[in-house]
Amino acid sequence: MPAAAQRSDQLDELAIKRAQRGDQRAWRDLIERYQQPVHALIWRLFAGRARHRVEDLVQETFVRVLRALPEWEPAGTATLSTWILTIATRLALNELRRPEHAALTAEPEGRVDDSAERRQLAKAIAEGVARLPEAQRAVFVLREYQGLEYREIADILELDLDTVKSRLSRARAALRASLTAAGRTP
Amino acid sequence: MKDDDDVGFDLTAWEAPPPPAGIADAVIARVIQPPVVGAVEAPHRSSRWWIAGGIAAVAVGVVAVALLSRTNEEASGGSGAVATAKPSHLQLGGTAVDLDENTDVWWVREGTQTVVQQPRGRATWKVAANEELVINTGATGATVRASGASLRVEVDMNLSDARLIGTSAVTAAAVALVTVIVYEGHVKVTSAERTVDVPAGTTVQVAPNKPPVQPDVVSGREKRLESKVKFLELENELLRKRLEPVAVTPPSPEKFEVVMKPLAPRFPACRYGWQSDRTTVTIVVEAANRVEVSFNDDVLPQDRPTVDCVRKVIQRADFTAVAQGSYEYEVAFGRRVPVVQVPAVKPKPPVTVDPTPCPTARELDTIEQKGQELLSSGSYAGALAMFLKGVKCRPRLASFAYLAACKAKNFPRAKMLFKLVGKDSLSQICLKEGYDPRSP
Repeated sequence: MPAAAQRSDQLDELAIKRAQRGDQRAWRDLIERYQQPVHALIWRLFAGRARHRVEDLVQETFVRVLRALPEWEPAGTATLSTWILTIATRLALNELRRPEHAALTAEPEGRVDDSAERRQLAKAIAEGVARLPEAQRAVFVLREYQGLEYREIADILELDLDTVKSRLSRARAALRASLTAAGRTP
Repeated sequence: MKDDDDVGFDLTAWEAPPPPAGIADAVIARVIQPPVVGAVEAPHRSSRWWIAGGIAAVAVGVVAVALLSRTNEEASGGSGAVATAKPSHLQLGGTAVDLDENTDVWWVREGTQTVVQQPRGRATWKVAANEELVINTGATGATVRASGASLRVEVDMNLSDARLIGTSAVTAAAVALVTVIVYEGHVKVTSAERTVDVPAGTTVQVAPNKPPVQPDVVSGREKRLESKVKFLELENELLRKRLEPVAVTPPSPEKFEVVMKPLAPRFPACRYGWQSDRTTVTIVVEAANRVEVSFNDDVLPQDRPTVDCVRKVIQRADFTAVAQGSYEYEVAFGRRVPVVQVPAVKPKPPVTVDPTPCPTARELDTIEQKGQELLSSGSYAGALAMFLKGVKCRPRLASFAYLAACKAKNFPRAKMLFKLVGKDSLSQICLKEGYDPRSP
């Protein structure tokens, strides 16, 4: 079961149409509705890397979304949220391909108000995800943390379904091994 | 879909922090800014998504025009956007276009196909035989397809519609008429689900969401040659406009001396003490009587107080104003004797700000590209630093640097760059950030 399977509610049709027409209040609603999943997605894809770029990329995602929005078709194959996550994912992956992001940096422990055990687990997961190859990391985060269906992940990453499944399986196995090696027990 | 696998650990422990505040404000501010660079990409689902986005950006076209006033540009691939302030030329792979002033164009190139949005203005296109050009004229819904052809596409608006564009979203009513003139080759024009062939030597006009009318077929070698001649004449005219220098006649040296003479008593107050035997000062008078004063490389750090003082004195001079373009004088100051010697008029060199040598053209291209990437990604301080590396040697970077400085809220630098750029309309950029660069 994905860790964050619940998806943001879609904007209603009227709000989307207003946003498509350039209504700035509707733009604001759209951004505020989707900024959390977009930020979380990019933040996790950047595990162990240049987190200072995350905010810039979130902004850039929405800039592109708003510019492209008039061409987005509600009757198309992708929901608005999946379409937005597609833009965010591709932006993040493009950025991650820059050589300066190759080196890993230490991940902080989890939320301070969590128990020590949970904070350490968070840190171990983050480090395990950071070490995943980029292709596996994207599939893993989209599935486990964004709660997307395999078909949606395949569309976002332009992969076939079997590739998505195999990458996800390898990512899970690698993370499991990484957590076990770090002394964590399921 | 059911999961058949699981990591076996509580993955919810790794929580992402909440997004920082102010994202919506920052994004909306960026979207309503003009497109500095149109390099963008999006999921394939909407291959023409950039078109409408571009239209929205036209809404603030005044600033865009000021920023994007390049005269020539190579753009062999990818995507981009230009809003012209003067006649300009673009090379998009095997497709060339001469843009009239006040024309907006966005493009995406994939292989040999160039898909263009031309929501406003007039452009003459030349498409190689192995290339395909698709022009969408925005809200009219007309599409022009050409290959191996020369054609002119004119998208005209009426005045009330132009006002509409300036203040809010573009609507279908914004464009009054699209005119397609074909000089060479065959062109197809589609509107309201009807496609017509437009052969060389003919013209077709399309009203918003109305089908195009099939033009009369022109046959005969003579007619085709006539069309070709028309095209060449137009091409020459466009070329002439692009190359035409701004005619500014500088006032005579005598007039210059007359202007400078009243200032002579003020120079001793500068306690001039030049360390070099010969210090030259270049005075550039630009539009609206803006006076730029620069000093030669011999000026030493210890001369700086004198330099500042002399600059202030010169900037008080009442030079003859010019409406456009600029003229300049070079003034030589001898050691401790700062008197006007020979106000020689010479062709305008770049105003010297820093004695370090210029980067190569390739390096300048890299600086510009990296700066624009940083600007597009919202890294304004980084963009500013990048553009400043090339401002001295590529004056158009000053506009970008100014934009970055405003957005980075580096207002002292923005003020300096605003003066350097000298376009009053650009004050809006900093004003949006809460700072008036025109303030004394």
